[in-house]
This record gives sequence, C-alpha cells and structure tokens, in this order.
Amino acid sequence: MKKIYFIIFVSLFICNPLFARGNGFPVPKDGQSIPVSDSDDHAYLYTSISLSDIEVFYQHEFQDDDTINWRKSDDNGFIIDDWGNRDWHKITVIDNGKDGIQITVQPDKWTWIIGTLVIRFIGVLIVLSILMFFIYVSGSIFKLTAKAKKADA
Amino acid sequence: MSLAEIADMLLTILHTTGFMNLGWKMPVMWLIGCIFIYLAIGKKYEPLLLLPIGFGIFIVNFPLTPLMGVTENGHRELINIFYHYGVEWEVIPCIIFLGLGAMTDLGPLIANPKSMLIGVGAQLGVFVTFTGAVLAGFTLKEAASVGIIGGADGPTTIYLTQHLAPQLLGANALAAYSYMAMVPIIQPLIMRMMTNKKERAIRMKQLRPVSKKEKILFPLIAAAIIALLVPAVIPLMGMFLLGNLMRESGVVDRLSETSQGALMNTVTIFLGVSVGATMQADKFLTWKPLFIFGIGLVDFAVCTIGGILTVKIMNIFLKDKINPLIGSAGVSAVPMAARVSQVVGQEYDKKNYLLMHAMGPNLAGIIGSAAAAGMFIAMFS
Repeated sequence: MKKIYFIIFVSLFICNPLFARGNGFPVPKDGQSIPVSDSDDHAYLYTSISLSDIEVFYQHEFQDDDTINWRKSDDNGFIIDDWGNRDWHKITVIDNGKDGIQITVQPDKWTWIIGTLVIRFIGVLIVLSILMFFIYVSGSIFKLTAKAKKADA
Repeated sequence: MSLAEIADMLLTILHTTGFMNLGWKMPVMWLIGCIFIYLAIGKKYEPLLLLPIGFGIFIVNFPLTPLMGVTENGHRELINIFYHYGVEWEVIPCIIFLGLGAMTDLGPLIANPKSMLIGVGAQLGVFVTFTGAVLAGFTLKEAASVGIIGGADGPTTIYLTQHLAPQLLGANALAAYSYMAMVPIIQPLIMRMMTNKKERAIRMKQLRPVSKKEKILFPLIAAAIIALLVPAVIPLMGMFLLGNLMRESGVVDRLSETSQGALMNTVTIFLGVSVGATMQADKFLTWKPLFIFGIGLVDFAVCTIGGILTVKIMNIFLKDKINPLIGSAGVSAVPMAARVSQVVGQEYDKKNYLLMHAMGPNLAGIIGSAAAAGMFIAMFS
C-alpha cells in the first residue's frame, strides 16, 4: 500500500506544473465590475449595450467552436457552457431590465472540478445501489416464495 | 509513338500508383498496424478485434486507396460505409452488447448483489483520468472519452467516444482493447501490491442458486431502472438486457444463438476494420494518442485499485469477508478479469475457487462503466 501512496504522491507532484492556467474571460469591453456573493465568480454590468448585442458578441467570439454549448436561461438571458479547456466553465448573461445586462463568469476552480466528478461518481453509485436494492428485494421475494412452496409440499 | 510520349505515359501511370504519394508517416503506421496484427496472431491478445483493427490501420495508410474517403459522385468508399452506418450511427457497439447479453449468465450478480458496489469502485479510474486528461489540455468531451478506457469495456468506449470525441475513436478503442488484452499482465501485479497473503486466502461462501424466474425478471428491472436514471445509455444497456432476456427466456434459442454468434461476429469484422481505418497517419501521429495510451494504463490501474479498495472497505462492515482479489474484476473485461482473480487466488490456495464470485463484480463492471458513460453523455447534453 505504501508503494501505491508513494506513486500517487509522486504523480501529483510531477503533474503539478500542468495545473497552471492563464486568466482572461471573454466579456465585452466597458462593463462595470460588480461584486458577487461567491468571491471566485466575476460579474460585470452593462447599461449601454442590449442583450442582442451581447449575444452577437459571443456568437462572434465562439464562431464554429464545438466546445461551446448555448442554453436559454430562465431569467431572460442565456448561458454559455465551455466543454473545452478554457479557464471558465460557465457564462451567464441575464437581462435585469432597467439595471442593465449582467454577465457572470464562473472560472474553473478545483472545488468545481472535483465537485463535478464526485457528483457523477456518486451518480454511478446511486444507479448501481438502486439496482442492488431491487435485486435484494426480488431475491427475497423469490426465496420466500420457494420456502412457502416447500412448506406446502 | 515517340520516346517522349512513351516516357510521358509511363510517368502518368506512375502518378496513379501509390509510390509517388508515399510519405514518411505511412511506414510508421504500417509498422503500428503490423504490431497489432502480431499481437493478435503471435500473442493471441484479443485477436477477434486486434486483427481487423491492425489490418485496418495497415491498409488505410497506403496513398490513394479508395477506402475511407468519398468518391467524386459523393458516395462513401468501402470502409467509410462500414464506419458511417456502423460506428458513426452507433449501431455496432449496441449490436455487440446484444450479443454480450446473450452470452452472459447474470446469475453470479443476482446471487450476490453486493458485487454491484465493487463495480462502482472499479469506475474510480474513469473519473481520475478525466481530471488528468483535462489538465493535460484535452477538452472536457475528449477527457470523458479517454477516461472511460479504464472501464475496460470496448463497446462502451467506442459508443462514448463516438458520441463525444469521434476524432479520438481509433486511439481510444485501440487503448481499451489493448489493455483489456493485457489484463493478465497488468492486474496480478496490482492485486499483489494491494493485498496481503491472509486476504488472498479468504474463502467465500458458495453462491445461492438463482431461479430461472429471477434471471428473467432481472433484465426487466435493470432496464427500467437504467432507463429512468441514465436514459443516455439505454441503447447500449437496453440491447445488452434484451440479449440476456432472450437467453434466459429459453424460448428464442435461435435468436439468442444468432446474437451471440453470427451477428456478433459479422459486426465485429466491420467494427475492427472501421476503427483501424480511422487511424490515418496525419490524424494519428500526434501527441494525443501517445498520451491516451499512457494515461489509459494509469486509468486501468486506478480502476483495478478502486475495485480492490472497495472490497477492503466493504470487509470492514461485513461478517462474511470477501476476497479482495475479486475486486480487480470490477473492471468489465469479461470474463478475463474474473479468470485472473481465480488464477491469482489459486496461487495462494489451490482449493479456493473465486471464478464465480469474481463474475459478479465483472458483470457489475459492465453496468458500472455504462452508467459512467451515461453520466458523461448527460453532462454534455
């Protein structure tokens, strides 16, 4: 076991330089930076550009890029997911009416990377656990039925 | 006809041959193709797939060969047709799963449902590798397709890769099948490192007999649960469970035999050649396939470790201990991984028969890797 831990530790140490990533988020110029509750997120406010202008800006920015996924937001706007290896994983654009357009960029962070994987691993666990539960239940029913048949005989 | 005309004609003829269009990358690919053909014939490593894959690599890397392109009339060329309708349309992996289902006796899994958890543990490497590949510069979709290699399930790897990153199909499929073939070489080392002699000698209780009705009911329950929880993989798992239902029902022997025999063999030929033919020199000779082969090995090792560790954790809570050697069978590679558990176990206790116990995690591994693939597909939907 010690060997395994050693190999994992050394691998992490060697891979560490790969973890370094640059900065820079694709947002239109002249936005006003606004504070957000989650200090790792970056939010910008635009009062002089319309939602459609911002949509055009992003369409131009991510032209023919199949690592980008567009979704409609429930709050009058849209969400862009990055499936590539950029420094962020989500940009949310919301039209706040009079207050202007708010763009929130969620940068990749370790908590997100690990979190998303743990959730999916737990997802696999849940699927197989439910299947296991049903096998137990059906197995018990079959065993009881067999016992009852034996008793009748 | 003048001498100049003859020379011109000869030159024209020469230009229609492959000689004038050869590049240095092509012989490299011939060599790679021949290595896989050698592994299939000489070493008997997964010959059913590595042989057609190797030949596909070999033949497609000759210049001007009308195999993977499109004709002037817009028709697909021979192997491109197999690839388009078989792999791109995701038909062949599902048909192979139909055959696998028809071949598989799920009794050991039904008799010991705890095996399901080992199948989950053995998916650990899939998620670890996903992170590693992202850090190395792969896109999230590519990383997900590389990660699934550790699940040691060829059709699932092909299915997911075709879905998310078709440009990596050749490298991923080759890595998956190569490591599946090398299960008897890779796993015993890890199994010995992760266990002590006392653990290796654990004898397990004999599995209870499973009635035919239970075996018929299982595909229906499993299909319903998987369809509800991870609908993205139901084409794959649905076909697997249909194959199994045909087998267990006992009323459609002809269909069951065709699925696991002629049909599966036919699509295996098309799958192997198509996958091999995707490995054209210009696309294949980059750093990514090399990285995939490297990280694929780590992936496979972590999956094996994950399975064994899961058994060890389960043993803390269980009265009837499980032999941790069956944990390695949680990677799906059926039935090779289960056989390895049996062989390594018998090195320490000749009367310890682990094969049927190891089949449980082995079968859970198929479902686990398909579930992991479903999670990834859902992630990008």
